[in-house]
Amino acid sequence: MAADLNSLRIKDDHLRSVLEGRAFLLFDGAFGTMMQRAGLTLAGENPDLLNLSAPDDITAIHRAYVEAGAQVATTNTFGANARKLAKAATVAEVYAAAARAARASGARYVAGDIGPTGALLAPMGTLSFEEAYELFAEQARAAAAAGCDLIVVETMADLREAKAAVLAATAETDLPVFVTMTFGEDGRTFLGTTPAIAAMTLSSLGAAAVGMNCSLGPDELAALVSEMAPHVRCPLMVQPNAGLPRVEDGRTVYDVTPEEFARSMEGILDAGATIVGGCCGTDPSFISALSGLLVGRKPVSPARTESFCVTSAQEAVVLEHGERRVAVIGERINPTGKKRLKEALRAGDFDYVVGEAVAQAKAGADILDVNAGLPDIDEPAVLSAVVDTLQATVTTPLQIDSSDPAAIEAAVRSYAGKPLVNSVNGKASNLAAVLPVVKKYGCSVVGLTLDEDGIPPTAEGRLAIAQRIVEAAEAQGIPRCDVAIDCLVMAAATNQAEVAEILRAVTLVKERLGVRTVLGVSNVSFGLPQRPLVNSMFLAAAFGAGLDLPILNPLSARYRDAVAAFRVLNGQDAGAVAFIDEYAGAPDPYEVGVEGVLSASASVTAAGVAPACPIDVPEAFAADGEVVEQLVSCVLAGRAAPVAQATRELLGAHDALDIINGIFVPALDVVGLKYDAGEFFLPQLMAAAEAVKAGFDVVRETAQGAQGAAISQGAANREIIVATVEGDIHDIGKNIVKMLLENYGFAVTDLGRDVPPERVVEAALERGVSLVGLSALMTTTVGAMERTIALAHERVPGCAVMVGGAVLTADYAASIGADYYAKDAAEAARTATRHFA
Amino acid sequence: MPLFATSLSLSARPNVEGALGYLGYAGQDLHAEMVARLEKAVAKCASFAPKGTFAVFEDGRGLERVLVGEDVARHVEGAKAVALLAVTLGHESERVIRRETALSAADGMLVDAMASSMAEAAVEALHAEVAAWARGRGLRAGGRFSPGYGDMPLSVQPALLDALDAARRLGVSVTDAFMLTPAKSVTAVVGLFDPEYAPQTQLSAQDCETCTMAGVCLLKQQGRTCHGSRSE
Repeated sequence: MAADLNSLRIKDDHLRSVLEGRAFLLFDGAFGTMMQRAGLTLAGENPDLLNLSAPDDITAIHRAYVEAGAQVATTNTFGANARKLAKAATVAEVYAAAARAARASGARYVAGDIGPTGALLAPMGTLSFEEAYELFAEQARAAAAAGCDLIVVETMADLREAKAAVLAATAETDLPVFVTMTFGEDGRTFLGTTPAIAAMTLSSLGAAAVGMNCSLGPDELAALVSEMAPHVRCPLMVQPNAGLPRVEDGRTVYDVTPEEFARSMEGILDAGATIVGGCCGTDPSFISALSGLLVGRKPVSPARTESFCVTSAQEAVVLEHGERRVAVIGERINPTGKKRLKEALRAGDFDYVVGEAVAQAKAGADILDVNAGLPDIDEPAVLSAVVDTLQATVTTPLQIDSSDPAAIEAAVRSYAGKPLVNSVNGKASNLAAVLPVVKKYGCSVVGLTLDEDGIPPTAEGRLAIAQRIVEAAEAQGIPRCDVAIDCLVMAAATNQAEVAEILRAVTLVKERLGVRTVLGVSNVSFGLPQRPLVNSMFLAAAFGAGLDLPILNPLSARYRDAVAAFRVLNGQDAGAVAFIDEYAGAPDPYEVGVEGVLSASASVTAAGVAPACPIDVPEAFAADGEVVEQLVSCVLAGRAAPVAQATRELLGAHDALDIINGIFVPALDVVGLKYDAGEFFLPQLMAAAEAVKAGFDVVRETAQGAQGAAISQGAANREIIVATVEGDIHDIGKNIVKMLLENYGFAVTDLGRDVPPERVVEAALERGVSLVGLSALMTTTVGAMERTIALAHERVPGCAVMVGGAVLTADYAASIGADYYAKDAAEAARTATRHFA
Repeated sequence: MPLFATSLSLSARPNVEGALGYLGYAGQDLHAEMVARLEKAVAKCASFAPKGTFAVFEDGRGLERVLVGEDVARHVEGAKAVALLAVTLGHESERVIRRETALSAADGMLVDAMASSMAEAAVEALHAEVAAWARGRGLRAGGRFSPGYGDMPLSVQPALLDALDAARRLGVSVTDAFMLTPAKSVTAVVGLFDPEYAPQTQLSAQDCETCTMAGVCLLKQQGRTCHGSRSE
């Protein structure tokens, strides 16, 4: 059971048996339809205010449903959040009046209704997760204070918003919380969530019932209900529309009659729904027909799967109990030993992290590990920011990897899905700190077989700790199927005898405890040559021992080969379709004569088609004239890979600063001139700048010691903060400026979009910059730009502000107090150069 | 309450020429590399599923909070009915654009522009549906007019979306600064006229003249408009 019934205030025994899945509960039907019929609604007016202005009319509608057999009266509060009510009434007033009107109907139960906020959550929209949480919390408190017997969160299209509502309602009240989402004809919500994903995520969160409403008619919903049923761990709730709506001659018409509705609902009951009612277009005659259907019927328990699952809002990794499947966890988003990633995390450059995520997903990672653990970093803030960035850009489910329970909580709280937490271990203090977070946020969890005494050398010792972890999880209310055990790989070079024990531990843990197993595979080869060879051989052996979830680098071809081949052997790749597709006709790397093909060097030789080199090769590079010419012509063509390759070649014989000043900067100048002359248009300018960036990255990676310090110091002395102003979510212009500035050697801190003035000022003070760049696209957000400029001038003396954006002109920019106006990105780079000159 | 309302999937593809226009293209030599990037950007839009909804209102009644400003009033003057339109490329477009921008700012910009041209194609496709519906009832559909054109403020977006039930039908919502989310969404107003009604020939020429953007509009400087072609 997902919700812990012992901690809930449950009105009576009937409701208790409903929550245990042993009895039906009949809700009411549409409210809007009935209000329209009664002529109560006015265009542009929030219908929830009718609870205050026309309570008797509202009670009459509730009473009609009760007389038709409804056991629950759902309050008329779909839009009663502070955001939608604006100042027309307080949330508490509306819920109090609505609950009073509902109770007056004589209904057995009153359900406090909570609908969506009406705004899209950040980062796609501008409402933050915590703001949404607060809106819902206020509603939940109001519903409880108004005497509601339960809370219904309904018609949710955004899984993240639904999560905010369920978390708020379960935290703020002790009432049972039901939650339903709405799906389209393609079987997904507008944000791409399937019924199965919604069920896995929401029923783990502590909802007392999960299901779907609105969307479609009962016939269309039946298929979606069957998809959802195996994955809910609590009663299943379904409230369909009366078919698909059409508007004809000024009336909304639904094409399903009450009798047809009841007939179709029979299939939905057979699929396991126990809490039912109607949504748009249904009226008391539908509820009456449904009530007749429930007479003498027994609830059907759906065949629920005891599966291990990890989900994002759009994708799910499901390992069913007893089924032979493996899923790969990509390990690359972890700063340990990765200089570039460390820099990116410290600088808040999460684009780099997105690049790592996309590359691993393309290479076949099913889950991505995300670790932001660095000394001297605010790990909770950075980890949750990285997770927010990733969930807005990639659909692969995430594994939140941290040893800090506060960082884990910060990251999983607003994650739209059921993440995998890595990790908890067998130490009593750790179990006590991590498991409550895993439980509260409905996560799956990896348990490490170590405790106060370290890692036991034997398989039996590891099994004993695994067992303690599983028992502690179950005591906390986390089902066993949500736990995966990592038996901890040791290096064969130092602990050779243990390798066999590790494999045996995997088998034991799986057989005795019935849980999934995880291993960080590449640890095995520390200290040995040809590590990929050792790793892939160990991976094959571990698969044989029963490993389900290898953590590895999916960009390693040897790993990919082992996983792809094993999926044929375990039957996961049915008919070997994927394997044949990938490997038929591919060269065998062990055959003599086949060499690794470096695509980068191949493209350098093909560079002849690019424009000719327009700069004079500097004296110092005379010996490498051809490479320089190639590099520069590839810059003009916007080809990043060959520029990186040529830079690598030049670094063998030349000084990094000479390459920057003698080649990159003159090449960028040529690009800028071409753009000014109209020979290049913006995307060509950008592509050229990106190509130079690829070269810069090589220089930065390679440059060491004093030289590296000189390069980073040069950039640090020329630091700029950029942001798109508060309320504005169109940040393409800012992104272009940022990219160009970076490639002119400025250090750019990007605060993102929809940035409040205070945040800009804080960052400017904290980093001590002398130049801030702001963008605004819309007339409606220029006001926010003006406020930001004023605050920056007031609080950060000596800091200049440069502005740009489609609606601005030089005069307008001056009138709102900007120090510089840049009409485009190239101008911004020139202005910045002058500023620091 | 509208006279008629419907939602439909729309067939729309990115329009490379239109996208190049948004990017300020003025006949430069694109080189093979840029052509390849443009093709890649088009391919990235393949997963977008454009959807639209339109609703027809018998007269302006109930649309007082939508038809704000003199320009839109003139646009639908004499109309027998007013159609409200909304299209969106869906949330997938948001994710893909953000992802591509993170991977490469240049490619992200190209995908963004392709998506804009696709949204434009989608609203044209919906406009054609409206025109066909109108023809079936002996009416002629006029041109499109969107919030932000002329003196029609963006602040009508919430009321316009409400009148269309666009949050439920399309999953489109609006921020406090009146921006549509997903960003690749478009709303518009179309007048439905008696075929004999004198067409307002001066209007299309006037749109840009009355537009608040007229002084700064880059498209206008290039002799183009932001609002696409007009219906028959």
